[in-house]
Amino acid sequence: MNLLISSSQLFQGKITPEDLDNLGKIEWGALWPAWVASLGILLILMVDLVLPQAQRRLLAWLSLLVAIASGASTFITDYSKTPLFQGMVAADDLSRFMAVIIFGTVALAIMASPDYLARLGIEVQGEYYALILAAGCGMWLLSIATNFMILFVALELFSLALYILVGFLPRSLRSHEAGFKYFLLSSFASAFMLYGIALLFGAYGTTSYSGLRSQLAANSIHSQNGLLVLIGLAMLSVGFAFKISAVPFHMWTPDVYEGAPTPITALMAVGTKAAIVVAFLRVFNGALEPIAAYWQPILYVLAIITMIGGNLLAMTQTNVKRMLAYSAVAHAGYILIGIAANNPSGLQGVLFYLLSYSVMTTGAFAVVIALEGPRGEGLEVADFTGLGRANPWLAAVMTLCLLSLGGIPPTAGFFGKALVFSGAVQAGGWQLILPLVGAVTSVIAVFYYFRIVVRMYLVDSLVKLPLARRTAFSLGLVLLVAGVGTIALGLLAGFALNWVEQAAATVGQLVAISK
Amino acid sequence: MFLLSTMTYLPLLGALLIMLLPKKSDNLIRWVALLTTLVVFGLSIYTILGFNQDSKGYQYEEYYKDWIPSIGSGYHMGVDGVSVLMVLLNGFLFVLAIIASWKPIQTRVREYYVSMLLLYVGLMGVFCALDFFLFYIFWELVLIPMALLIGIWGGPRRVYAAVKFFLYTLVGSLLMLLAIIALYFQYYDLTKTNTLDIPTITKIAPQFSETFQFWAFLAFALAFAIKVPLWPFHTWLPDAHTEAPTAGSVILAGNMLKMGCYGFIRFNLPLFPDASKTLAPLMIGLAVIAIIYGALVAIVQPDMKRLVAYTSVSHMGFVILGLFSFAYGLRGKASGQTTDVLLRDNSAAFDGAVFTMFSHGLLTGGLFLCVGVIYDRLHTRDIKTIQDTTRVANRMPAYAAIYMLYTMGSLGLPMISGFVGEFLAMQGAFRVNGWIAFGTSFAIILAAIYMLWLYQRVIWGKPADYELATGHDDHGHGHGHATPAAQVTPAPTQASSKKADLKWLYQSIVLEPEDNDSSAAASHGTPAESHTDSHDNDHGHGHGGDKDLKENGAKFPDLNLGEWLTLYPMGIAAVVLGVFPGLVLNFLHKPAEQITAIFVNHADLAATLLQQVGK
Repeated sequence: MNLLISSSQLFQGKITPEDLDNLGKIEWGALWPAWVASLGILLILMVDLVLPQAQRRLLAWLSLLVAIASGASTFITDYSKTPLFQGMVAADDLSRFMAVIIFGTVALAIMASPDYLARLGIEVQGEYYALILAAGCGMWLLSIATNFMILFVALELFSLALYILVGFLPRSLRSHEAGFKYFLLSSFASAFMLYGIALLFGAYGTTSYSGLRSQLAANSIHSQNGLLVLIGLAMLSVGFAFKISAVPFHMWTPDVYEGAPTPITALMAVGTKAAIVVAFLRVFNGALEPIAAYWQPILYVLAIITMIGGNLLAMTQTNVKRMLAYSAVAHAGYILIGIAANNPSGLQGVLFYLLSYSVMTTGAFAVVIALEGPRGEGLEVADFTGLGRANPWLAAVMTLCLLSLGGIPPTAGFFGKALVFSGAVQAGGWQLILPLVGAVTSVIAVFYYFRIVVRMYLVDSLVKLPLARRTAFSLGLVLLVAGVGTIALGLLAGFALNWVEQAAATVGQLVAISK
Repeated sequence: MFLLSTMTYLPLLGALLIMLLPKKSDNLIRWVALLTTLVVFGLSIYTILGFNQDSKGYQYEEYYKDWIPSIGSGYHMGVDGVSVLMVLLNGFLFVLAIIASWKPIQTRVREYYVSMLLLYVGLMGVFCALDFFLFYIFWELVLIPMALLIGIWGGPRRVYAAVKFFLYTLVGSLLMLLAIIALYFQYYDLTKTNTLDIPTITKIAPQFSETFQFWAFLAFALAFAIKVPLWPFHTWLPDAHTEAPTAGSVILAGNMLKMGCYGFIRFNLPLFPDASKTLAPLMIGLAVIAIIYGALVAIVQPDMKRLVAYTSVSHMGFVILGLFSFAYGLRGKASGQTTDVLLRDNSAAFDGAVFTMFSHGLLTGGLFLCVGVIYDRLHTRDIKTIQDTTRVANRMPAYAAIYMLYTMGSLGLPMISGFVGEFLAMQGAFRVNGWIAFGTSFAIILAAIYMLWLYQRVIWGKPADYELATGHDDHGHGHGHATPAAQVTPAPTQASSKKADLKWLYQSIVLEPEDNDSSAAASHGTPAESHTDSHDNDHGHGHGGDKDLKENGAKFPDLNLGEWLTLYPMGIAAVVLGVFPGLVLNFLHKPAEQITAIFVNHADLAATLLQQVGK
């Protein structure tokens, strides 16, 4: 009932005949990536049944094909830049941008898997790839949602897939523990988020971003529903902070990242984070923009303690997977700087950061995958000793990715960091503290990234060299893509920046829609 | 046409070529590296010969406007009088550094030369880049190869030194990055256009507000002060120098420290004229402390290389002293001075600063090479050990001679380049305040103390009656130094050598002196250096009962070809500059004039503003 009232209010301003035409229309074409992925999942599950055991590795290539097709299909759709399905999902440049990031990451995670699964003796492959695709589909839907309903359904879609994937290693207690922990804590956070959504709905009777925005713009926060909105905002912030693994809510991250199969860790570190961040942008910088003054301070504090906490905790880790997990926490802090800045530079920075973060993190995890032993050994920093000699190419990619994570030019990570900082500098005032903290913590970050580099090149290995295993072809491709991407995004940032600029502009277009 | 880009990226090409060479072709790799640096050196000479000293602005410009259009960054290269000198210094020192690494570097040769050439790319780029973004990329590009050079081919505490060097400089760079971003937005606010082009931003620099200038100056200054390094940000330098391989130290002292000074000249002075004037006393104060402190600490260093590193702190203080005396002298035209008068009165300080930059590259680079020569023979840099081992002057006369030149140059003897720069910088300081010049002049005396004392201990080691003191067995260990890893046992203390003397006395009475011959002869053949040596002094001196010669002659062959080729050209260059300082100074008129123009324009602007307010 309320929903109808609010949507009628929404169109009160000007209702054109075109709007009325659109009202009952279902734009199937806009969701091509999701259709392709869903059909692919069904296909893979069926092929899995008929393929003989020896041929199961074909599934990897099939699912890779599906992932690439899903990502590519977004380019054949002409996005109208208006919300579709009665304002449920956005079809804009940001959606296309996210399709590329997420399905690209999914493709890389799939390519990194066959060799890894064989090494760890995992035979159930059909489900594995189907779940990865399902997770990718959910992430993309999350990033294009413009309604809290879709947001929550998409969140559950990829979370459920990930719960299973995290606990996928059959004989590893740690993996099961991680899966269960992720399930419990993530459900808890989802409950917070849901409660927040409910409160906002209670206040204004709408679950659509644009509706909420126009209501917030029209009504003062000091009016009768203000308290509901503020509590709802707090709940939403907790939920998002948990999902993005910002510091007081980051506890699950290292355990889950460590326990999960490494390709899944990479997928979570990159794809999940990217999807959540974009949902964050659409909700906070889009829907909740009118009350920015209320959520910005929350994000300042979160960003500062996340950068400091994540980096300090990462410094003491000896396990590379855990270190990368804490570094992922720290990077969430840098991303928050851009979100908190709430201006075009900041938003572009965030999106570019996601782009660069996805290549460099995937690269670092790919090297970890290449070195990981059948029982999950070979993950200590000490195991990287002498890698520079044993396998110069692996070491080179790792160095490149770590330098990029540390934000050293001319790599992609530098550009991301510089753009995010520039958002805060442009905002000025107290926000200048954020890039200052960011700069200082970057040096801490470089310190622990450098520990690995030092191990690889500067410490002479007297005991044993890392396993001189041949890197599988598909994993080699991942390393190549990540390495080339890390450098190319740094040197030829101009191309990516144009795209990022377009995509970032659409976050602000919610304004136009709500009018 | 693309001269600067060619010079910058040719080393990259060389590095790629080296990476593609087959594994066991160490000598080929060395030749490729040497040829690359020689070609670039040739190009840098060509550049400086074609450089027009009398024209304002940048020359050999390359401007590709749309590199990253959305942030207004273009590919802009160009040199002015200051940077063309630095380019030449780069070209010269890198050739010498490659030659100096020929023999000492025997492990992981390929990686070494790749790092060296990548370092070259970064250093060339830093001095040529005229776009903030480009500049920052080159600035950071320098860090990684240098950290690798220290960390892989360095001394025992190399990893610590490398990480410290890297992190320390990174802190400064990141603050500079923030300042660059702030500058970008400041420019945007004033003009509503995006650009990161250095000359374009410099043009409107006087319009920046005073608060902005103050903070941006500090952020830039911190980055550069760490790089220079200025007291109290110098602590990474002694560690990095001590652990770095010889060629690494040469480049570190010769070129990398200049990056900081260059930053002050290119950015701090012209971009923030107000802040430069306001903060000049602070910078001068820090510089004076650096000069005196560096000299005092240098005196007591037990390690040759560490000592030279601290002299760098002292000498670089003169650069900062000169630069900010210059800025201080340009304070406004309240007394009705014209640009020309201001320039005439103050340009000495600027000239002194840049001249010191250039000459410090030659002299300190030379001193580090000298340390390397001793280190290759004895595998220690401990002054006491060297002193107790032999009298180097007798063993290596050619070395002693060239070392003397560097010593004298470093302590500021006229006719050698070190004097000119320090004199001019102090002359500039005198215009600020006589007491500053008075105080810093003590640095010259301190320099005489540490340099001459160092020379005395290293070159004239072992007392005059050393024949009594030789022949004991303690020094027999050094024979096997054909393997680079062999280390000399720690220096015998005075007491133990006394005991050894008695033992020798006993032996010389009881046994025939020839008994020691066999060991000396056996050790003679081992070191590779003695074969290639053009001055094999063993034959020259014969066996006239010179115990020290028998013991140490083979261990201390005089300079080999590579060392000749590095030490002497550098020394000659230092002398030539000392006699004809105009060779360098002529390049500095226009840059000094331009900075002065910015300062004066700005003062004009302020004056008109004041008048308007008054009306």
